[in-house]
Amino acid sequence: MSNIETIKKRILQVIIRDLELNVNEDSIQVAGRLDELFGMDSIAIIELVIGIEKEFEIKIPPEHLTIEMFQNLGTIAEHMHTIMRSKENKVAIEQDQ
Amino acid sequence: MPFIASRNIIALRDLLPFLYLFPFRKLATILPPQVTRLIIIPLIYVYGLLPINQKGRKSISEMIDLIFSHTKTRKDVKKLSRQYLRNSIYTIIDDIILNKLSKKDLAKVGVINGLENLEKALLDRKGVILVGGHFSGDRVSKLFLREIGFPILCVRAKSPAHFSPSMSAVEKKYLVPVRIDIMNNVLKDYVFVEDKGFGIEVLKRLRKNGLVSILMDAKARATMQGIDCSFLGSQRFFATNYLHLAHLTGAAVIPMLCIGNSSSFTVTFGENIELQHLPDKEEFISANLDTLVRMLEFQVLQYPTHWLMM
Repeated sequence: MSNIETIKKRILQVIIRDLELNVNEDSIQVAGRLDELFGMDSIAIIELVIGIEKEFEIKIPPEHLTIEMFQNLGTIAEHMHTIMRSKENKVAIEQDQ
Repeated sequence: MPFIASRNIIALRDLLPFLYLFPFRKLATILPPQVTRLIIIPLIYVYGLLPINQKGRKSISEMIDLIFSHTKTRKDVKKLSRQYLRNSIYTIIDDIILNKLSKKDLAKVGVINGLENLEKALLDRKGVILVGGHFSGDRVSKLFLREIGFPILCVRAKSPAHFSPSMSAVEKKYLVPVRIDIMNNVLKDYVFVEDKGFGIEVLKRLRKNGLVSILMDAKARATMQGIDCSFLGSQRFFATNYLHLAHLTGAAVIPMLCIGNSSSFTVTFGENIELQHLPDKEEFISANLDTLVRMLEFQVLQYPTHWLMM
């Protein structure tokens, strides 16, 4: 299972690659709200959603798609951790059956 | 929102909107819609003819003249201006009676053209972005479509992008916000473009294979991403965020035209607009925005007296 730190690193790469923000990794790591610090608008958040889904080969369920998820790197990573854990549990149950 | 100082605290022309927004609106909650119409229409007609609205009438005539490149006779322009005034009055009245109309009432007076275009686009299961302008039948049509199983998420602005300097302080502070509340109460299903969660809400709706409505002619704020385009003989700034959305989600883009009022209205869904799919985001937007602006221009030229953005 991926740990939160590994997930954070992968999300960081998506932010830098897909959003083309003129910022470095460190500033994102320590950032408070991503939207306030980097001027991430609504469209950038959608780009981030799609970028993360491609990176993790997963569809973010609608119940996780909230503005709270995209507050900062930590909240995104926590949500992704939960989503991936639930996906892994589902696969395990299917294999048992 | 840009701050523009008002010339007056209150103006004489605030009186009728005040009566409409407060006592008449309260009265409309107990009266049958037909009776409300009978009471309010003559009063608003009188209001439109008052000398204090002469400037407004003149600017409507000038706009009609511009739309038709000065090819209409003076008599025709006057006739179109009067029709425009009637349609806009009806739209205002509708806002306080629409919620009292049942699905059956609306079905009797509403016509939908091109529903097959919408249904075909929905088969792709990527959602549909409905594009159009501020036409007279917008809210009654959306209410009807919601009633018959096509709920539409409407993208709206919290407040007007620009207040006219001629507005009084009372109009800005009290009358405009109440008017916006009334409109929002009719639409019910809406998201504000200024909200941080706007993009996410739209994405969720499209992923549910839902419908999202964009009024392209809304005055775009300077902070929005957009492009200046030639439109009805002058340059106008158009927001492009919905094109970014279409690019990212693959949602279909369908023209929607709503004209009329709660006595008789028509919704027309055009054919799916074939967007040029270019890998670069900016190229995709500039290549496709012009197609959409020409579509809107065509709608306005077809129904100038129903277009409420004069």
